[in-house]
This record gives sequence, C-alpha cells and structure tokens, in this order.
Amino acid sequence: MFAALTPEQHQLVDVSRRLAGDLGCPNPSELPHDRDDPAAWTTLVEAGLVAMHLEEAVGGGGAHSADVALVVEQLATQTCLVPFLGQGVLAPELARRGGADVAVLGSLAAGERRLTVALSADLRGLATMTGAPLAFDARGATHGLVLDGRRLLAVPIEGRPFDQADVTRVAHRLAMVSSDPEVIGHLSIEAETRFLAFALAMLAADLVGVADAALRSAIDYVRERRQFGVAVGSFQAVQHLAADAAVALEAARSSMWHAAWAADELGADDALIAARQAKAVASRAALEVVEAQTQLFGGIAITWEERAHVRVRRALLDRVVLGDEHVHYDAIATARLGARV
Amino acid sequence: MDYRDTVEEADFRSRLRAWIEEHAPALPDDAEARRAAIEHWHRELYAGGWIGLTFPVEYGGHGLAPAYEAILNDELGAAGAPPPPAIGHISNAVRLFGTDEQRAAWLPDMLASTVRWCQGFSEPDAGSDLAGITTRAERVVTPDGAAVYRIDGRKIWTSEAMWSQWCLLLCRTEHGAAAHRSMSMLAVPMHTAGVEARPIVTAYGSEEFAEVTFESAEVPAANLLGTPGQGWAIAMALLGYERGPSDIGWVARLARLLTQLEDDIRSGVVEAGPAERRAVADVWCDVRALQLQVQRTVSARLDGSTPGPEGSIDKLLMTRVEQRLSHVNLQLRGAAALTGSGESIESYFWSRAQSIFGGTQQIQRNIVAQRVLGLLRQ
Repeated sequence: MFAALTPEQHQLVDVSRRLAGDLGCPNPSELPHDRDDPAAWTTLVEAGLVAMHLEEAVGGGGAHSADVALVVEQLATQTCLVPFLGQGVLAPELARRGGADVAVLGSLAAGERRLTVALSADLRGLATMTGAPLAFDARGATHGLVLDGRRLLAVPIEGRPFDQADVTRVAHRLAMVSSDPEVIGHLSIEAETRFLAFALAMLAADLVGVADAALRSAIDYVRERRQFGVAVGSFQAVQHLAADAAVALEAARSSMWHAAWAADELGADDALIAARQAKAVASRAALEVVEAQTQLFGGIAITWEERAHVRVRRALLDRVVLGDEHVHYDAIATARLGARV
Repeated sequence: MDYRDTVEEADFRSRLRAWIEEHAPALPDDAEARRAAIEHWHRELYAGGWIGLTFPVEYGGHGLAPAYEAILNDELGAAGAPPPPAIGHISNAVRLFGTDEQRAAWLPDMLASTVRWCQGFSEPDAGSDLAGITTRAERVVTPDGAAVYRIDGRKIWTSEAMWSQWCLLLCRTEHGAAAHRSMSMLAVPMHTAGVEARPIVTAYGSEEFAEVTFESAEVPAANLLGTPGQGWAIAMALLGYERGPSDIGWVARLARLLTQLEDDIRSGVVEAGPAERRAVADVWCDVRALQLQVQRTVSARLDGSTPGPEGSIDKLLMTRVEQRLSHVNLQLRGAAALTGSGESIESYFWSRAQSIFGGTQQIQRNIVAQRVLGLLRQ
C-alpha cells in the first residue's frame, strides 16, 4: 500500500501549479464575463493537459486518473477561467466511455473540438432529452453532450450564456429541438458508472483545489491583518477556526486521491462508491473551508473586489454538480444497507 | 499511489490473518483475568514474530516498512482482537537516546512483553501544560558512594502503571536552567522504595490509569536516558510516534463498531428511517476519510522520516469522526444502548476521552495552526 504521491506526481503538481499561476484568474472586477480565452486553451493543449487521460493512440497522454485529478486541483487553486474540467477532462472521458470514434477523440485531444458535458436542470445528473439541460463549463464550447437513451449526442449550444452563481464558469442552454444532433457514441450502463466515478473524483479535486486556495489566502491575510495591536492570526479563536478547516481539507484530499486512483483501478461499482465518498466529503469540507475563509477575512470577504467570494461561488456550484453530499449519502446507504423496504 | 497491498504485504496480511484466527484470545469479564489474558496475548504476539515490525533488526526488530506495522494494527482491529502492546514511543526513546548498555538491558524484554513500561509525563497540575511539571529529581551521592537521582513528585493518568515494572519518567533535574532545558528522562523501576501506584477507575469502570507518587525514591544515575536537560526534547520527539500505525488500529476498531451498526440495521435489530440511513452513510464517509488519511500518513513515512506536527491533523480528524460515530451509534441504538452490556456507553466515553488524552483537541489545534499552518503564537 502506498497512499501518497510519488516523486513524479509531486513533479506534476509543481508543473501544473506554475501553469495555473501563469493562467491566473482576472481581477473580480472583470467578472463575470463570457469571453473565451483561446490563448489559455492553447496553453493547456500545448502542455499536453487537454484530454491527458485519453490513449496515446488518439493523441492523448495516457495519464492515470489520479494524475488528472492533481492537475484539476491545481488549476482550481487559481479559480482559472479556462474550462479545463468540463472540456479538457469530462467531455473527452464521456466521449471515450461512449465509444466515440478515433476522429472525434483525436480532435478533442488536439483541442480543436470544444465539447463539454451537459447536466440535467437540477445539476444532479447527466443531461437527457427531457427537461431543460444546460452545458456545464461551456466557455468557448460549441456543443454539449447529452444522453438519449443510451445514445450519446452532441447538441449545439444555443443563445447567450445565462447568469449563474459561479462567476468563473459559463453555462449555456442547448438547442434541444431546433438542431440535428450528432451521434457521438453509445454509453453502456457500466460505462456510465465508470464515467460517473471519474467525474465525481474530478469534481472532488476541483473542490479540494478551491478549498486549499481559500485556506492559504485566509492564512496569509490573518498573518498581516492587525487588531488590538497584534496580528489577528495570533488569537486562538482564529487559529482554531483555521486548524479545523485544515483538518476538513486534508480529509477531503485523502479521499479524493483514493477516488481518483480507484477510478482506474477498481471495478465500476467499487470505484463509484469511492467516488461518492470523496465527492460527499469534499463537498462538505469545501463548504466548511470557504466559510472559514470568509470569516477569517472578515468584512472584506463580503466585497466584490476580494477574491474570497469567487471561491465560495465555485465551491457552491461544484458541490451541487452530479449531486451534493446528501445525494451521495442516500446512494451509499442504498449500496451498503440495501434498498429500504 | 497504490492502495492495494503489494505481493509481499498481501502475503504478510494473509499469514497474519490466519494466525490471529488461531490465537486471538477470548477476553474474560473479570478484570484480573482479563489483564492476565492480555499479557499472555502480548507474549504470544512476540512469539509469533509480530512485534517490533518496524524496529531495526540490530535492536531485535524486523526492520520492515511502516506499512507492515499498519497491517498488523489494521488486522487486529478488524478482528476485534486486543491491540499490540503500546511500546512504540518508549522503545524508540531507548533506541534513539539510550546508551548501548541501556538498549541491551531494556529493549529485548520490552519487545518480548516480559517486562512492561509505562510513561510518567502528566501531573495533576501539568496536563496540557506539560512544561509545567514539578516532579523533581536531585542528583546526590549516597553514603556508600553511589550516584543516584532522588525523586519526589506525583504523576497522573499513567496508563498501565499498575502492571508495569518500569516507568519512563519526565522530571526536573537542572534547577535554574531555562524551563525546556531543565527536564530529564529517567528510567525508574516501579518496585523502587518510595514509588507507589494507585489505580484510577475510569468513567466506564475500568482501571487502566493510575496515579503514581514518588517520595525520596532513588534510582542509579546510570538510569538517565540521554543527557541531563534533554528530557523535554526526548518527550517532543516521541509524541509523533503515538500516531501513525496505532491510529490505523484504532480506526479499524471504529470501522468495526460501524460495521456492527450496519449489520444490525440490515437484520432489522436496529430500525432506521431515511434520516437515520443518511446519518449512517454520512459517518461511513467520515470513517473512510479517516482510514485514507492515516494510510497517507503512514505512507508518507516510508522514507523513514520522523513523524511531524501533521500528526495533529490525524488526531483532530480521529476525534471528530469518533465523536460523530459515537453519537450516531447512541442515537440509532436508543434505549438498547443504555441497557445491557454497556458497550455503546464505553465507546461513547472513549470518544469523549479522545479529545482529551494524548494532547487535547485545543492543544492539537494550536499545533496545527502554529506548526503546520505557520500562524504566530501570541
């Protein structure tokens, strides 16, 4: 058993941390906006991060899901606007699990086609042909992936993006009736389970990244901020809040590493339980940490110009996407205790 | 990362599991008989080759990676067998700070569990504020020319003192030196004249702690571990050894408590509606997170690095999870928890003790804030 990062993984974390720092996040005063940043996307493509887990034969990097999660986490620490999670990670994985042909996968790996995943209106599941699904993380995307029975379709994005809590991401409606969707592949039930396990682990990684950045920035702040003639970070009441947040964060990180590893290494059902556990723990932890961040920053956290609210917003959305902790508790209860009679 | 056992680890685990099945004792209810059974069990573990797994071969250990110590604790915990003897910190103290003579004299019997040691740190007026201990030891020369330390003071919460032959004692020897340099570590035979141990009955009725008094108790000066004034440094170096593999064992015991609750829900012994089922799944997520966290801590020590302040994160998580689990257990078992054998009440009191012993929750938060997150001390 080795439940920690390898030297290569530490290197990957360092590289992606630098890359995320270079990409950065605009000043909150410039948010929200829906402009795509093709240069940022190209940077990710050239760094080999877009579709890094697709097979090398189609132009991917053959990366392990655990490595993908580490990159997702680092980009989330900067609350980067570049739509890596939706378009660089989740859509290629869904297309691959759906048996998309080499041409489609190759164009995704090359960063030429900009597909993203679409979610049901309540954000809890993959989009189907009913209801009013929306394209997740759709900045610069042309299509959202939707399930029609077991068929996987690419449906064009429609109209203007609409306002949402998370100011780092863009959400779009899809042209559900007016278009002629392209059939990307066929998603078996097992493939869907596998995709869900992968996706939940990646969302957990995004939550851990956002929470990590929130805690670090709040710690930096309370070291500088002075009241009663001393740094407020020297007060135990403040320190204990930060310490509890650190405990929640590390529990989430340990769970997320395991889920991301499990996505490639365990059977579909076990991988899904591991992913539900990680997503539940990370959702709860991220909320605790970003709220601790808000408290540690004090009044300035409630201003638009301070980045704290950007992290809170991203955490709130990540938490709900593909189910918050309560959704996963119920699924875990059914799996472990049996269906309720 | 790889969360599976390696081939060697899997082989070790399966041999161990078979061995436990054959040797795990049934513990009698009677306290005295129970004690004897546990001592016998510890000697059996040693005879089976399961003690000192990570300890260097030259000092009687097996020189294996921390993962093996973790597997031992995991399997014992999962089987509900009594834990291995808690000698991790004291054996490492003797190994790291002892002389060759002290290692040769003390380590073999300690590992074999034929001689038992307790740790005399806390005092009635020095709990969280361990640096405030007042037990003194004066170095004097007796009329027959022997150099001895003469000890006076009182220790409390000394686990297993009633059954130990030796006590590793933190006391003040260097009067006038700065607080952290005025303490030394002495090895004190419990049968020394002037040493008396009185049991403390816990809130759940067992006698695992004791209060130990020292009245002009004299031990040879050669029983000093390390150098005069090094006691605090030794104590701090050891605290990390309380975490890690033994946490894995404790977590396995928590997982067992939860599994029993889940079994009782499935079989209908415990009734659970949607809210209760959700609460159980919630705490299952917590227990898994704790397992993965302590596995990570053990894995991070594969390079042989000394356990650091990050161990306090594990302790705080353990506290949080154990207390939540205990609440869920009491809530779901309802009246049944308050009648009969009292197992639920014992685990409940244990969960409350978790945030007090081995450094309180408040002290652990200070350590995380100041030594992990880098916030200033006021």
